[in-house]
Amino acid sequence: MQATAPEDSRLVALSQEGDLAAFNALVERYQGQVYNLCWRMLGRREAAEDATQEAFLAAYRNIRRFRGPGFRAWLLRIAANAATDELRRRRRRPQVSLEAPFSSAETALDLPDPSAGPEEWALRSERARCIQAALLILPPDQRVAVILADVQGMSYEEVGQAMGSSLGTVKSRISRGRGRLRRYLLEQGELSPPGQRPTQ
Amino acid sequence: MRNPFVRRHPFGEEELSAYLDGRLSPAESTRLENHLASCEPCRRHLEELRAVTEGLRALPSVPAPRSFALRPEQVEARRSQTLAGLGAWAFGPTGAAAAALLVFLVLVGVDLGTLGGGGAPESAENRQAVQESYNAEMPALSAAAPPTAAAAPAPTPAPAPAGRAAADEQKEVGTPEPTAEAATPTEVPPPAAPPGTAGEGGDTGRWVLRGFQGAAGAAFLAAMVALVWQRRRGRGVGRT
Repeated sequence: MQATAPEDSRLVALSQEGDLAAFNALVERYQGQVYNLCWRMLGRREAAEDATQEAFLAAYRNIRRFRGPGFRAWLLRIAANAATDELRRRRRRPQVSLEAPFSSAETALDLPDPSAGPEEWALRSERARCIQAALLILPPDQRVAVILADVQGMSYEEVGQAMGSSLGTVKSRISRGRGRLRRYLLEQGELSPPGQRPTQ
Repeated sequence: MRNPFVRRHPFGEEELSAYLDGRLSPAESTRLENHLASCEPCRRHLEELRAVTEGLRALPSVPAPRSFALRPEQVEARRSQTLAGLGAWAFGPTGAAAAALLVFLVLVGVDLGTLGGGGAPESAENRQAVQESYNAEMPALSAAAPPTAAAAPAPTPAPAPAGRAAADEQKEVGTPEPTAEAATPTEVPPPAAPPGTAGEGGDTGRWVLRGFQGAAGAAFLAAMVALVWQRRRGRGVGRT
């Protein structure tokens, strides 16, 4: 018989008593979501790794202050803050511009399902690259809201918990973020029918 | 009068976005759908927003390149970094502002202490003498008796500044100076002595203290300006 994984609340309680192994079980459980959020926020693997590590360190340091109910939302809030801090830090000391074109290694992370046909695969790949570039033009608060809602599929309520914001603010940030993305993608010809794409 | 564009397209991007997420009430959804049935630009706008959200949802999940599990030495290292951060705070603009503010407040406290008597016995006596003198003069004033030269300077209406304390005390003891003002029937309290003319030692000390207060205040303001500038610089470049 397969043992069921311990609940978040059990692992959190142990972590609050200083049990690093219990905390690391939470890290293993959520590192994919945290890393994805940081990667979509920053668009760079190295920066996303730094922010992810920083988020888990900050979460461990502050776990005693966590009072519930949702550990995931709390953790993603810390991750969003860590990514925003990393963004500012890198803007102050830009070793590599965050707006610079993606290297092949970075773009490779956004490759769609290879089971699609070659043409479809190329189109989706180009769309994914363009959408990721568009995400990076959004202000951090809109970026976080759009990533949590549309990329990670969270409800407005969960996004509100993760951002510490009201439902009205979440709704407004998501719609403004989507609006900016729409305008950017229209300018890039990514939302026009193929025959109407502007020539560069 | 409403904007003609708003009249033609009563649903904005926020409503269209909420509609895509099923966050409009049934009544609002029906109204929007009725509008969409006859408005091609709004239909196109909605489809473009739908394409954006579908594109975002289709973004592949990026696998974590490594484990982010914490090692004991990372947790320990973080504790020492926190101490280093405290050091940086103490020696940065924030620490400088805090130190300057503290010095400023201490100097103001010292100044106020001096002004209010500073707990010195002679100042307390002085206050008592002024009060007694004031009480003694009150009946005469209330009876509208003509003021005398001796009585005139006594009713000091407000606590005198520390610099005047010595002069006042001298008057209360019974040897009022026969000044020109004192001789006139319409008596007014003499103006406070200018710095350096009466109570020389106390006034000089006070003005030195004020100088230090000014310097501490200026240092505080300079540190705050540096702090704000540093923050704005950090925030400004961080904005996309």
